[in-house]
Amino acid sequence: MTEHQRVTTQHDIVAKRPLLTPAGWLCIGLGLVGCMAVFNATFHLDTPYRFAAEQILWILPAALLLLLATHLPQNWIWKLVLPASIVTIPLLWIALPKGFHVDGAFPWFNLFGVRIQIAELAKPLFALFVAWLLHKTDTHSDDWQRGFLPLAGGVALWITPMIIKPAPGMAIVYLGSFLIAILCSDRPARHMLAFAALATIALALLMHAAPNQPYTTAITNPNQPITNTWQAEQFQRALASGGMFGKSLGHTLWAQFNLAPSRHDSVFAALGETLGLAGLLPLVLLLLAWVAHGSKQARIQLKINPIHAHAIVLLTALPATQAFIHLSVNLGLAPYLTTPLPLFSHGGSSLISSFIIVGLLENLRLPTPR
Amino acid sequence: MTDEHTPSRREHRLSALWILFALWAGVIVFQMARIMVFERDQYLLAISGSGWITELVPAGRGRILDAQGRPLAWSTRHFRLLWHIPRDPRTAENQWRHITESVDPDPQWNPDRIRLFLDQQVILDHDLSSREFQTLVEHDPNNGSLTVESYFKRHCANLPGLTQRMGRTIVENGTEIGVSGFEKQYDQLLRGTPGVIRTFVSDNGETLRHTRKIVRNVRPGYDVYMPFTIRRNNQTVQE
Repeated sequence: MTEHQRVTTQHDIVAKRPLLTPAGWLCIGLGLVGCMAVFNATFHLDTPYRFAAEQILWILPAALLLLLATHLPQNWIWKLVLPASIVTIPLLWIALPKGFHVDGAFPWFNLFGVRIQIAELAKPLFALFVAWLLHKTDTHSDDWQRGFLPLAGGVALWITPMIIKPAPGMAIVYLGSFLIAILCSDRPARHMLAFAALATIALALLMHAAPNQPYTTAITNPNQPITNTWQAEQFQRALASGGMFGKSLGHTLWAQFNLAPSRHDSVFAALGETLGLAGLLPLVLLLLAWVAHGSKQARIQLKINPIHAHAIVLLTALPATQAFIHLSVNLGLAPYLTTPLPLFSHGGSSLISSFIIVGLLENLRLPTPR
Repeated sequence: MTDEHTPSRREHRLSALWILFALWAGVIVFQMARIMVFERDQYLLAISGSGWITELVPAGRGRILDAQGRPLAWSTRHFRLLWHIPRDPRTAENQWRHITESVDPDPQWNPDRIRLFLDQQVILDHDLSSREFQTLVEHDPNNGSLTVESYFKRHCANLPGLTQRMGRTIVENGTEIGVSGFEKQYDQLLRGTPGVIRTFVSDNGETLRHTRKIVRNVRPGYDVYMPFTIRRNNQTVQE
């Protein structure tokens, strides 16, 4: 029996889904470890339990949404993509004038005292929307007018607000994931080159949009002590301070005192100082395992349901790209970008979005129960 | 033929995705090992070159009062102005001109004298008035070469025999400490707790003001009531 036949047969079996798949349980477990990471990074504050407690509170709705995303009927998902996108894309644009602004990050909406970052929450929907567009244009993949333009236009609607704001971390994660999805699709090389050229223009516009913002200064004038490059240097020092096996809680001086955004942008460095190299390696391996899982499931879905394959690639690439950028910034391999580490950094929108992504990926890889 | 070819090409690309991330992870692990193990000593050396400086904010010493609440000993807060005179005489002269527009320095200071103290910190005014302080803050002419420090002066009611009984205080790290008499006896109550402020100094010795943080708030000392009253003829009476 070939792999194709075997997979098809499995898919047709009347299957009952487990309440949570192993990946779902792992996601909740990592979310709880993330609360410890947030506590570790904010241990020095006057209210050390505040941010960790907030994160635990966020895990409850996130777990419910994970369950919902895992069990939502697959045909509903694809019926909902377009209407949900029609609502979400205008919200991204409305956030520009109406949102709560912080330099380097996409604006938040303040909803009854709860701050919601729409660009963060919308990541799973972006993945589904691009997958839907890729699928719709797959039959005309060689055609500029019917294959290239709708895709480029659709993605531009999502990413342009992040360039106007500008929110470089967010925009690069969206752009990077999209490019990965294109690379893993069956598009001709000339289209891929055109997308790469458009992405380069988008990055240039991003730099041009705010020449005096900290991330731009970090690249153009890295020696200025108050720039974010200075902050990034402290991340590396925190990691060096951790050494091979880390320092116990309460003794992580560099994470406590020097890493101003320790619960967001440098949670990896703060964790590194506590756990050391030995403690960080499993985290990198977990990230690789996530990519391997997504890559394997996408390969399986190629033969069963190509739209699922597109979606799985994007759902894998979004958190993976974000996590690898976070790690690269913390290790000094990339300029400072305000990119949280999925599941670990403090913030409800990021946590919920990561949980939904895991739920959707598990949903789309599993056969539909009858 | 096409059907078989298409998935195969995409399958290869999906494998390439995994390889791409695996390579990225390899670079990350290499960098982690470099920073946390191989070149750790260099980073630790850089850390030792920079660090936090801690400043104490002295707490106001409590008053000593008689049974009726009349003050027998009390402290007043004063501000002194310190100036780090630039190394270059011309810059020093320019700064001097700006400073004297806002502040009346102590009489011993004049343009000739400041040339003797180039690249040193000197006390320019021992008792900065609130008006001078405000003008100075508004103009801020010298980009941080001026420092304002607060200090306390202890006063005692001028009554015969009382000064000796009240005792003496000395100043240590800006905090007044009782060393004799009632000042020593009730020192723990009177002294209070100084505040602590922390600021980061970078590798090149620059104080980064944006890192300034209050670690501990100031708690002023308690007032202490004596079990006697001062009579009108300035004699003390035990109650």
